[in-house]
Amino acid sequence: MLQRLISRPGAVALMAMALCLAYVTVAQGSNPDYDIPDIPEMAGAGLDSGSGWWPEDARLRLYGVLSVFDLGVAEAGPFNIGNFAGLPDRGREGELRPELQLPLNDCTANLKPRLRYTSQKINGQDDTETELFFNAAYLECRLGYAFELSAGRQSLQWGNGQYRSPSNPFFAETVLFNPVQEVLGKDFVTVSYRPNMDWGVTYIAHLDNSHVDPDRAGFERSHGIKFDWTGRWFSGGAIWSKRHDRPSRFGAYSTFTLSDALLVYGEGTTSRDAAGLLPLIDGNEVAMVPANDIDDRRRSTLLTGMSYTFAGGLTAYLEYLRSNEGFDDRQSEDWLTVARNAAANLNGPDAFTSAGILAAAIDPGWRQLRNDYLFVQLVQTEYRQKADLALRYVRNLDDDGYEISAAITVRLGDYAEWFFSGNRNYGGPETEFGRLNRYAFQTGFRIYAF
Amino acid sequence: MKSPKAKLAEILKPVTFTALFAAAAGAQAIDAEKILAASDRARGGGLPGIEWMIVMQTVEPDFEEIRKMQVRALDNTSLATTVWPPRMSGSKLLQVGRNMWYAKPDLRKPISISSRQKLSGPAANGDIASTNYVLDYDPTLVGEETVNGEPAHVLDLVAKNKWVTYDRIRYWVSKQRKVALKAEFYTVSGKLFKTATFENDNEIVYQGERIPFVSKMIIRDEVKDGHYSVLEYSAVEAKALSPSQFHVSSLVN
Repeated sequence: MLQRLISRPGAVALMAMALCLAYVTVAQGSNPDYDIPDIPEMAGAGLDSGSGWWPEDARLRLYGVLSVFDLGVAEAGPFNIGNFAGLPDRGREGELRPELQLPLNDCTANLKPRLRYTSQKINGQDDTETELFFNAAYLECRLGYAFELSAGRQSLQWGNGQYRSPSNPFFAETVLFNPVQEVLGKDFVTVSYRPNMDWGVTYIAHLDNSHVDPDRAGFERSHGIKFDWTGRWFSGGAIWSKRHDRPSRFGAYSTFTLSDALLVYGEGTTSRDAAGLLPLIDGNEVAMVPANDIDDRRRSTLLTGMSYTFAGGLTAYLEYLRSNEGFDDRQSEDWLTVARNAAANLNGPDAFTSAGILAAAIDPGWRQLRNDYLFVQLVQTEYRQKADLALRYVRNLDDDGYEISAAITVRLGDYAEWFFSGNRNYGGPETEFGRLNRYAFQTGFRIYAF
Repeated sequence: MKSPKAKLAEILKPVTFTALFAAAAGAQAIDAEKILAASDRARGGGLPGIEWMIVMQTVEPDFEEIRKMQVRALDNTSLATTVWPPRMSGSKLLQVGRNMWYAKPDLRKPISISSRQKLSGPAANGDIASTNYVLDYDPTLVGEETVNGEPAHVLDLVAKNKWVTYDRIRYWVSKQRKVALKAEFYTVSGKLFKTATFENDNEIVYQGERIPFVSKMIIRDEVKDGHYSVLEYSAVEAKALSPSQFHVSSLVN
């Protein structure tokens, strides 16, 4: 009976959540002794002070992430028929994450190597992979009082958008909600001039992506100039950037601190440089083609949002994203037609071509597939001093599909955390959120050596 | 019959009295501001290039936790980097004016947070940063009292706007040492919800002057019995710091 009501992964998720809630809601005892005890010596408090050979201010950190995941692969629609996308339905991951920050006179070396092991099942077959890569490896140097140079693999991020970061031409995804995933570092050279704390200007050259970055295929070098300004209750900036010989892109972002609880923010971008593919149905030709080949109109995206922190510490985020970068209604119909047509021909004489078209339809390269999105998020940090909780709702207002996600991190002493994140997609196999998977969850531990 | 001069004096009498009263009140306001500014310096406010360590212990009836942070402050900006516990090591809290960002060391983007978002226990984010009450509050000198045998000015601080962590503070500042001794924090409705006591056994040298610096701060939650935070300050050092260290882009990696 229970099996009819709830799937196995769902049951595991519910049990995990129940355990978490039981842990964080343990009955409070009483402490009649109001005396403040002495703070103990911080033995092993990190290598944060000079101790002979170890430079002052150097930091070394080592932690590992162990997790299992389960994915409800959606195979009913045209996009992932027979699990065409090759998604794993379950698996486990382990990752070692050492981190070193080493000051060397006016420079600082930063190294974040990663060793990742993944074992998963795809279409019933075992698939294992071990990856070793540097997610960050860069040197930053101070040149005089106001200039700074950095070179190497790093992450450059700004703006306050939780759902997306449209003003950033280098990193669109925020992965703020995912307790395991890191942003993949990219290879940059930057030169900054910051004469004071109010403003600064930075030249950025994006030279390459990591070999584990799916965006490396078709990568084109780009560069840009970013201006930042921080006022007493305002922060913001603007960036001009250009990819190879394509039209330039302009982005801007700002955050207004309106009270001790209320923030209002926005991020946007505009350009004639379109990175994505559009569906093309012309007689017998049914394909996905570069957008600039058939439509070179200016495309813009604007995200507006606000956050409010209630007296108890709960913070609510509300964001609306409006864009003409993704498909409009007609293009969306054509996109579905292209996907259906390619899926129907996967076993036909043009199977190879159809597979290519379907792969392009699955990921047409746009930062968002459609035009209007609503994002709501609730975050409670330090819940009973034991846990961070988050609940997120994202709705594609054009196809009415939506995603509900939850994330919990529970502290297990000073050296470990247990985490759970899960999401459920609604809207069917032809909607943006439901086309590839119905649900996903991941749970595991982060263990910190020092 | 009064002379014109006497008439004029009679007419001007209330004006003169008002002007004198206003001048006295103004002088008192200036004094209150001077006292507050001096006490801010002992908590890192308004000083160029200073660094210290904080060990913060949070105690609740069923919970106890210790965090250690390095805090760097330049003018009215501060950056706190957590070094303990290991699971939080490397996370950063940056405050520039009213703006506040929090970043974890996993290459994600720093997120803007409000000063109301919780840090740990009764301590708010605003409590660990450098203190600049003189910028955020209108002070009024309301009396004198003795705190642990030390004569103190009593200041009533009213928030200048909604950006600050506390709406109203009653603040005891040592008459001789110009350091904070005690504070009571009130809500808009006038309800006492937190108290703090200070010890000031650290010292820094600024422009040839030896300034006492806070060494311990105990914050008690007056609503929840048995909830309190202890903040111990050490390794206080004046240091040349560059503005780039306090830019939000420096938080990402």
